[in-house]
Amino acid sequence: MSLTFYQSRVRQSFHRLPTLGLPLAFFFVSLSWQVAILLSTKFVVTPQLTDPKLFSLIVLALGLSSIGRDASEGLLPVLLTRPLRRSSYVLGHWAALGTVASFWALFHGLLQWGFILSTTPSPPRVEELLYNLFGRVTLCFGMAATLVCFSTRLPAWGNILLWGLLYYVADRVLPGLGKDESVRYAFVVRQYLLGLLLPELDFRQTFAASPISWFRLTTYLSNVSLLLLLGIHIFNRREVSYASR
Amino acid sequence: MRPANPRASRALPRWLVVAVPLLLVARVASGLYEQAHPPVPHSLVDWVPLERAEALSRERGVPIVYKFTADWCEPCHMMEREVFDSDEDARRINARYVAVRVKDRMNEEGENAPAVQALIDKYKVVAFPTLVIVTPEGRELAQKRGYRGYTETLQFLRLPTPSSG
Repeated sequence: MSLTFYQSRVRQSFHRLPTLGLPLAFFFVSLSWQVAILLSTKFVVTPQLTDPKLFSLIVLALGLSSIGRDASEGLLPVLLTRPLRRSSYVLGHWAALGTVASFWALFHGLLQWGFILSTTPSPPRVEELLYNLFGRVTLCFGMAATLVCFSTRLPAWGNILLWGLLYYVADRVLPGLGKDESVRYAFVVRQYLLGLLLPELDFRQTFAASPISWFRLTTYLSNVSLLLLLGIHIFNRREVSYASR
Repeated sequence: MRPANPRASRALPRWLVVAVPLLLVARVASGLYEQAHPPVPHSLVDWVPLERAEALSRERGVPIVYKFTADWCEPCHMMEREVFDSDEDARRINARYVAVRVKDRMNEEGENAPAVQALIDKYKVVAFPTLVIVTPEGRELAQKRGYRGYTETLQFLRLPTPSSG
């Protein structure tokens, strides 16, 4: 992976309006919502750490600036004239997206923790905070692999649209097929699909179990590495020229 | 350095090519192993297996508390953290009840184990979390649907609350 390319992608995320404005909007809405609940219930309902899955919104917002966007803006042919392996380009995108999304998720988590400490007499233990923060980071890097894999072939926004379509199928269509034995495969497909769309490692269920749940750990790592390998393979087969957008 | 030929620029990273099949094999192997020997989640409460609960309740002469929960249920995790993961409360629950965790897997597997589904039907559980207290004779004493905070849950379980000293 090229460090220079990775650094440039990380910096770029903080300079573009969609990839800076949308995470900030998420921050504002999420924290304001908790303050509003606290005040409207006169401190009866105390704030809680946000479920890591909600940070998929931040990753989706940041995923706008991915390979598909480089292609749509005509940057891809220029970038590939540099001494850069295609796999380094894909991995650089993945690492940058995961890092920036994790930065926002961790920053949000620490602010939220400070808010909880200042308003709750018996806050959750530090261990809970760590489980939550690690969960956020694994989700950010997991979803980054999914979105980068999708964007290796699709134009800008295409990765987000495909993700949304597949999530809709997994969350709304497949459960609606029924619960008979004949459509049992639908639940299996749904589980695999959700594992690929929202790869997350639940640290509590993985490492606080005895023995450690190796299945959860290998499922997460294999999903992420498989998506990266698939993304690199698709990108390797893509022909890029100044004419191709 | 610029790769010497165009093919080199398209090479797959070797570490990834090796890691993917290894991880997939490890995933299948650990999945099969954990199906036979599921890991026990860490908990301070002595959760009793469903099939042993009634006999143990009669033997000890204490009621059973069924905790109906699901993996996707965030209020269930909150209740677990705040009530069942509290050292002092967990000790009191262990002394006063035979605690049984009944996990709904409908969303993940499309069906529940017959014994779990029978309990869900018997106590008409329609939401998670639900707590049900049952006497050693099998009579339902009380049922609480949803999680409305630490103190209310302790009151339901007839355990001392922070304000009661």
